[in-house]
Amino acid sequence: MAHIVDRLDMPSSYKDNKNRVSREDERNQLANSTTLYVGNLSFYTTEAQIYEIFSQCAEPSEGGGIKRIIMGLDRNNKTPCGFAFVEYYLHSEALASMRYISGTKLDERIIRCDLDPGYKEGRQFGRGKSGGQVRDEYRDDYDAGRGGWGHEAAQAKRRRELAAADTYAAEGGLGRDGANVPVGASADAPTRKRARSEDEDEDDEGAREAPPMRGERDDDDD
Amino acid sequence: MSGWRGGGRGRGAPRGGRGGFRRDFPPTPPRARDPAIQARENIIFLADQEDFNVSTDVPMLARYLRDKWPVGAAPGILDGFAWSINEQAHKLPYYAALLLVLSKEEFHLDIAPERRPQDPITDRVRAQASALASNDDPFTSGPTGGEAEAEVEAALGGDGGADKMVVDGIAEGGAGEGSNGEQEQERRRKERCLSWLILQDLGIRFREWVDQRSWLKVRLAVSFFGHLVPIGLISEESYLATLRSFISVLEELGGGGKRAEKVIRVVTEGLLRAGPRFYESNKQAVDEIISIISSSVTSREQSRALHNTFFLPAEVARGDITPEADQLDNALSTLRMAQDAGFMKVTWMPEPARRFMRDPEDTGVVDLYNIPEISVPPEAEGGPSLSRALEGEGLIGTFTLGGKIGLTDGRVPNPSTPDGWMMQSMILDILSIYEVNRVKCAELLLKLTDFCLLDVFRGKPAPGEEEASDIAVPGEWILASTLISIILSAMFKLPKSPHHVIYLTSVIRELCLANGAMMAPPVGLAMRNIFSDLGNGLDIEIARRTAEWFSVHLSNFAYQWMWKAWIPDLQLPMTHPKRAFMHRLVELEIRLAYQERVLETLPEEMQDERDAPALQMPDPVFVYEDPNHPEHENATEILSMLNAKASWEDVLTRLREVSGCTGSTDVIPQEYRRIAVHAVLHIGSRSFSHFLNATERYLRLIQELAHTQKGRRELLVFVRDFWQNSSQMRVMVIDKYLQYNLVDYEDVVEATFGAFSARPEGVRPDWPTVWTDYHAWELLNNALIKSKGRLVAISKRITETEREDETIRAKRNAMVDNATPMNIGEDGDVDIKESTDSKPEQVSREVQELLRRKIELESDQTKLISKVVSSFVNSLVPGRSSGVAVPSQLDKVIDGDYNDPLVWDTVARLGFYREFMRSFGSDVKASASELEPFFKDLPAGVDPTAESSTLGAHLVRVIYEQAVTL
Repeated sequence: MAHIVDRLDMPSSYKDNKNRVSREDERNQLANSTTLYVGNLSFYTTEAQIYEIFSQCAEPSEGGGIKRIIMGLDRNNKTPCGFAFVEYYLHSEALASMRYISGTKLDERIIRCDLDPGYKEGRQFGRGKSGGQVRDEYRDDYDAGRGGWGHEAAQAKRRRELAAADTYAAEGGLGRDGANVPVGASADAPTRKRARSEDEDEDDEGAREAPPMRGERDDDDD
Repeated sequence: MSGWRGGGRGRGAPRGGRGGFRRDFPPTPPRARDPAIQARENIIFLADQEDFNVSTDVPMLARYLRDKWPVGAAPGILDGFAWSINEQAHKLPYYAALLLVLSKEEFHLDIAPERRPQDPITDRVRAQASALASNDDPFTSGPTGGEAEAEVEAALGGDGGADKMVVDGIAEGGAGEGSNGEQEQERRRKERCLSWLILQDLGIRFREWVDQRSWLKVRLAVSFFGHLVPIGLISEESYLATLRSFISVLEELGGGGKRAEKVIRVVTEGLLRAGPRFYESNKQAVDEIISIISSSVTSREQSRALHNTFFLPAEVARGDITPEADQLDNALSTLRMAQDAGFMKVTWMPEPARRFMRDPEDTGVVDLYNIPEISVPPEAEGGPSLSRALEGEGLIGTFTLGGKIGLTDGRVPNPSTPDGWMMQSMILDILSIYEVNRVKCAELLLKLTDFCLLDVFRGKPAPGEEEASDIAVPGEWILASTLISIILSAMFKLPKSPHHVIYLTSVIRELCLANGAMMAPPVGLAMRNIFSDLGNGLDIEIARRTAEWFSVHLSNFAYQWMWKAWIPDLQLPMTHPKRAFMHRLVELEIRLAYQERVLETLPEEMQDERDAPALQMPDPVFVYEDPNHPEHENATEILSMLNAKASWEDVLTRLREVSGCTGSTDVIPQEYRRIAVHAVLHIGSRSFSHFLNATERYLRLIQELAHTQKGRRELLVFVRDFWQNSSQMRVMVIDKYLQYNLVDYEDVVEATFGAFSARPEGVRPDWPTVWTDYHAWELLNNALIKSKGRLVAISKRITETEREDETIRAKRNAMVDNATPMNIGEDGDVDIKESTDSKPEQVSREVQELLRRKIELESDQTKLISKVVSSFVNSLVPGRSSGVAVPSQLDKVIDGDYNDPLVWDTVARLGFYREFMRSFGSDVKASASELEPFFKDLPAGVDPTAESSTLGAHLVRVIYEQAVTL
């Protein structure tokens, strides 16, 4: 029901120019998508914060929940650059986030969500010339949450920045070469007995085919 | 589009784009050039204009619709009415007025529309006729053949009286039969009238909505019909018959089940809308309807007191289990009050149709439309479930705090009165309908006054009225208080809110953003009211939801809150519900932000207790980092292996070596398993992704370390120790360990009631426990819901697989059928038999496997429920709780003796036991035979003067019995 009011859970008209699938195929992917693109994050926002707010739309009673979070990283520095992918188990959870969370604040910034056809390796990196999101290349305002001007940053922010850099850029960080992006547990894990004997299959199922590459929305948002 | 702030150069623009604002603007809507779309939008926007004038604008629209109907606008006009009635509950009286104007002679079409195949009415009727004729609707009693015509005729409003007409040329096979010139002339005369055509369409849609069990649409349609009765567009007889059809559900065996509530609401609102004249002329019948509702409402089980928002253990133990008034009690008292007053019209509801009423001396022909007969279908079994918002639309009780109605200042509608019921219902309907767009929802709620008679809401109480009676009447209501009170009451509805808490949270956010000066005070007042009742019996689940809502709310408003008002409460022990709530709120804020940011918003007095668990920096505790730790070197070695991505086998081998565990089957000593698990958690401690990564890489290692039941339970303790400063990480890790099958659901229950509930040695007596700080329930509830979710997920998969099987089978059969003629003469018969039998069997094996798995899961679920129940019973019944570090003090709870701070642990545990029985009541009921032994020794009926411990044991049993009898 909802003829007389626009729905907030419609995907945007964004089309990734690196995505090779047709509009039609992409529409079909979006129609069942469990993945959200989340934009306008502060560079200091952690996955735990993202988990906390997005788990509010999780429906574990329907077999749902957050499968994984993929933090968008600066291509060069391997530090967060203000976007992320949140992958749920259910399409309805992604839609609920569009309706209830997109446009509200996380870490004191208005975040924006969009349905996404699915994460593909390589999409976790910014596409701007300097490694971050394109939108930050051209931004001429001061934005403390997205790099701002470091000399004005408060002590607490510096500490958080260091922690954020340490998370992804330091030895063992997820942004380093050879690091894997987790596949997330399968929604329908078998029983313990079966897990032991068939866990390889289980992993394969978890790493199911992702749609072809589609880039981060580097010019998303306000 | 509201909220769209442009975006500058998008990437789709020829010059490329960079930066800019939101990209997620919807595609540009098509220009409304199509007359149908234009007409539809004009209907939808009726009365929305700033300078709307009933006397001129309604006839103007009517004239426009009359002019456009013949030129292609008919489908849009019909949709416009149907959509508006379904989705604009606040404007029903305006649509009634428009329909009344359309019924007047001057707005009639010049000629009745031709019944062409593409005519929307004809299409619908044809479909209806064919459905009735083939009798494929399981919910209608099944007229066939010629009876279908009569049904169609009924759907079209034939009244069987003097105006009876035969709709020829519509139903299959009906053409020409029984028609004659006069009747055809009569039909043509009626169908020149747009209101008649619109009502015919609505009547057909109404039947569809009933058959589809779209209760919200059904209720709004009946309400709309209710407005049409007093203005003479719908016959009183058919309206009464419609109400009776709904009421008949209550007379079914079992009282109609879940439908009872829905039909009572349909009828209550229908009667209130139809008003005094309808009551006057059908007094006996309406009184009878009310009496049926009365017996249905009053004969309900007293055990629904389990849903009470206030819970006083001593009173319940002594037999006082009075249920709080819920929506059905309110409906009944509303009806009785209306009955006494002769169903006077709802005072605040506008009556625009009044301006267009016919002159009483007008003797012109009035065609009364007859609502088609309906038959309320039984409850859906296994069909597609409605969304949460539509399933639970409008379910709400009366939440009263401090003797005032609602959660704010009492200046809110009293839902046990006709005026209050209708206002509450309208607001709840708007919340349900606009769930897809919270921004529009808030916008509409804020301009609700535009659709009510003047002065029903005030900005603030008139001078001297603050101290007036606690129950406000229209004119004393305050819009902001009303909205917040009703939204929060919906949020706190037990056992389950009709909406996601986060949806209602975001609506309140939008209301506050739109008009902070107006909306913020009632939000703050509600919060303070709720807080003041913590520890006085307010249900702990409501406190939990409040913290969930308010933490997100504050994170949207710079964490500004009047913490200072609560400084005096810092004198209470940390186990007290008020202190526990404060800490929970801070903890949830920290989860959404970071510790330093939140602490800086707290008053110094609160910051002084920095050692309180909830205020800690949520960092991991890796004790082996300390060079003085005896296992520092071993741990460092294991950690460096993990950092170097050594294989799990190598790590395990090395672990065996350093632990001196030589035999391959020997169990590695606990301390070394702890080192390995902490090392894996340590490499995964930087973020959620790191954690998933580390867990996925060393899944087999963890499985090896925790392959026994004892090992799994110790694994949970390792996790607790590592993340002792972050309840969020504990919840996340355990959730994923369940998902990865590293631990069992029962392990979580065992650890929660066992190791996690234990008090560390030397801890301060007023230190929070896992029960007072909500953490135990968070873990337990997650495990229970997740376990149930597995069942739901597998049931869905079974349905999907069966459907796929069916499709494949059908295709194959079709292929075989096509192939058969070609195979005749060869060995065709044999081939067909093989191909039809073998493949479906192969497919159904998959279903069989899923069914087998489902049975396993169901058995696991029963065991899990049983484990939770026994754990609760053993930890609550006085004298039984041996082995648990915090023994039950239920006897003191019954005595009201709260001197020992740890009594609050029992209060919290009891509260969550009650919440468990409420939320998982259906599972408890299903496992009742397995659960009986836990309760058979507990006293069934006791003397209210019995000893406190006996009363306590009895209370545990009472709560269980309430759950199984609901």
